[in-house]
Amino acid sequence: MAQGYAIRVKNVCLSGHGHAILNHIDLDVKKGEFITILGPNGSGKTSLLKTILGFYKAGQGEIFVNQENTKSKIRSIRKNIAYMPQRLDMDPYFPILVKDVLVMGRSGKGILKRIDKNDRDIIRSVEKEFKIHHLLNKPFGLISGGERQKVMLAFVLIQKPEILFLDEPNVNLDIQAYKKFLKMVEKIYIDHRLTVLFVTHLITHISEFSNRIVVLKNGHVIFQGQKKELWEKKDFLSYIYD
Amino acid sequence: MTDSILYKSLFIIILTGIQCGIIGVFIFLLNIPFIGVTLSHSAMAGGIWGMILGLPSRVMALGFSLLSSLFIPPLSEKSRISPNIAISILFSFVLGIAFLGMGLLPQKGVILDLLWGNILLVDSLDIIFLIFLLFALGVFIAAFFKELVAILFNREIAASLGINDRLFFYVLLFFVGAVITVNLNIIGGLLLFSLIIIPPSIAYQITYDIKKFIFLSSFFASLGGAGGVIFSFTFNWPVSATVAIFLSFILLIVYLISPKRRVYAKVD
Repeated sequence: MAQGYAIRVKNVCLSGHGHAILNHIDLDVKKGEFITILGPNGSGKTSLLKTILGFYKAGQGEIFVNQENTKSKIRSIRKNIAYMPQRLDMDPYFPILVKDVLVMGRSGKGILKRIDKNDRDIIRSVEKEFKIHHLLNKPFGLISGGERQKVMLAFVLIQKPEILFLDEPNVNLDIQAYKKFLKMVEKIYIDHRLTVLFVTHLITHISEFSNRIVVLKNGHVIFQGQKKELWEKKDFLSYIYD
Repeated sequence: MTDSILYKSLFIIILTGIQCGIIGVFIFLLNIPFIGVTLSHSAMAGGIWGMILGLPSRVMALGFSLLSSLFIPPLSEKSRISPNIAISILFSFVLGIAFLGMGLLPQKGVILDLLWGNILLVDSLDIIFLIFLLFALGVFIAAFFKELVAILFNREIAASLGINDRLFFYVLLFFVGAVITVNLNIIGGLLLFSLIIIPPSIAYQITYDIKKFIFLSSFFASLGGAGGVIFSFTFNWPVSATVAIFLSFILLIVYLISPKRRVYAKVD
C-alpha cells in the first residue's frame, strides 16, 4: 500500500437552503484504502463526495487531496480523481456511442491536447480488460443498466486516476448485475492500486475489500471502523436507518 | 440579374445554414431552445436603441445580444433556477426593452427587417462577417471538440474531468449570441429560429453519432435553406416563411422514415 494520505477532510461543514448538510466532518483516507461510505438517503454521502470534488463549497473546514488544498487547485486535483455519479439523468437517445464515451475519459488531459496514440492505447487496453468490444458502436443510452455501469467503470479507469469515487453504483442494477459490478470494482482496485471511496445506502452492498466503513447520518459521521465491528452493533444498525 | 441574386442568396443561406446547424446542435442538446428567441430579441432591442440613440445599430445589436448571453449562466446558477427559466426571465426583460424602443422609434418599418430579415439586401460586409464567424466557429469546435462533447454529455462529469465547464459554456453562449446577431438582419428572427431548432431535430431522428449529428444538422440547415430559397424564387413567396415551412416538411419526412423512431417503438 502506498504511503501518505490521499484525502484529508478537516472539520468540513456544508449547508444549503438554510439547513446543515454536512456537520464538522473529519475523514482521513490513506493512499490505497478502500473506504465505504454508508448511510441512509439524505445522510450527506453524495454531498461529501461533491464537496471533496469542489462542486459544493464548504462553509467551514479544509480538504486536501494528495496534500493539495482543494480551495486553490481544484481543477488539477480533479484530474487525479475519477468520479462515477449516481445517475446520469440523460436522454437515452442522446447521440453518443459507447466508443465516444470511452474517448471522453481522456478529455481532461488538457486544452488543445489532442487524443493521441498513447490515449488510444490506454482506451484499447481498458476495452480489452472489460471485454466490451461488442458494445463500442452501440448508442450509450440504449445499452442495459449493467452494461452502462460497466462502460462507466471503463470510462473512469481510462482517466488513469489515483482515486476513484463511486456514488451508489448499485442504483438501477439487480442483485446479480451488482455482484458482477462489485467484482469488477474489486479487481481494478487491486490491479490498479487505487484509492476508492464507495458510496452506498445498503449495508449488504459493502465490499469485502473495504478497509473501513464510514457511516453518515444527518450529515454527521457516526461510525468509522471495520465491517465486522459494524455487524456486531445490531442496535446500531437499526439506529442508522431509523 | 435574377440568377445572380438567386446564387448570392443561395450562397448566403448555405453559410447561414452551416452556422445555425452547428449552433443548433448545442442549443438542442443542452435543451435551451428558447435562447434563440431571447438572444434575437436582445439583438433586436440593441438594434432599435442604436437607431434611437444614433449609434451603429449592428454594433449595438451585437453588444445587447452578447451581454444577454452572459447574464444567463449566473442568473440560473445564483438563483438556482433552470437555465430555461432564466432565459425566459431575460426574454421578458429584453422584450420590454425592445417594445419600449419600438414605441419611441419614428420610422417603424425598419423593425420589420429585423423580424423578417432581407436576404436580398445583404452587402459584402455582411458576407465577410458571415465567413469570419463560420471560420471562428469551426476553429472553436475543432480545437475544443473533446471538451464540448463532455459538457454536452454531462456538465458534472466534464467538471470532474478537470474541464472548465463554466468557461466553455460562456464561450458557447458567446457564439450563439454572435451567430444570432450577425444573421438577424440577413434572415430575420423567424428564419433564424427555424434554422437553429429544426435541423438538429432532423439529425436527432437519424444518428447516435455526435460527429455525424453535427454534420447532418449543418447539412439539413443548408439543404432546407437552399430548398426554401429556390422555392421562394420560383413561386415568388417570402423567403423566411418558405424556408421555415420547407424545413418542417423535411423534418416530417425524416421523422416518418427515421431509423431511431423504430428503436423508440421497440424500447417503449
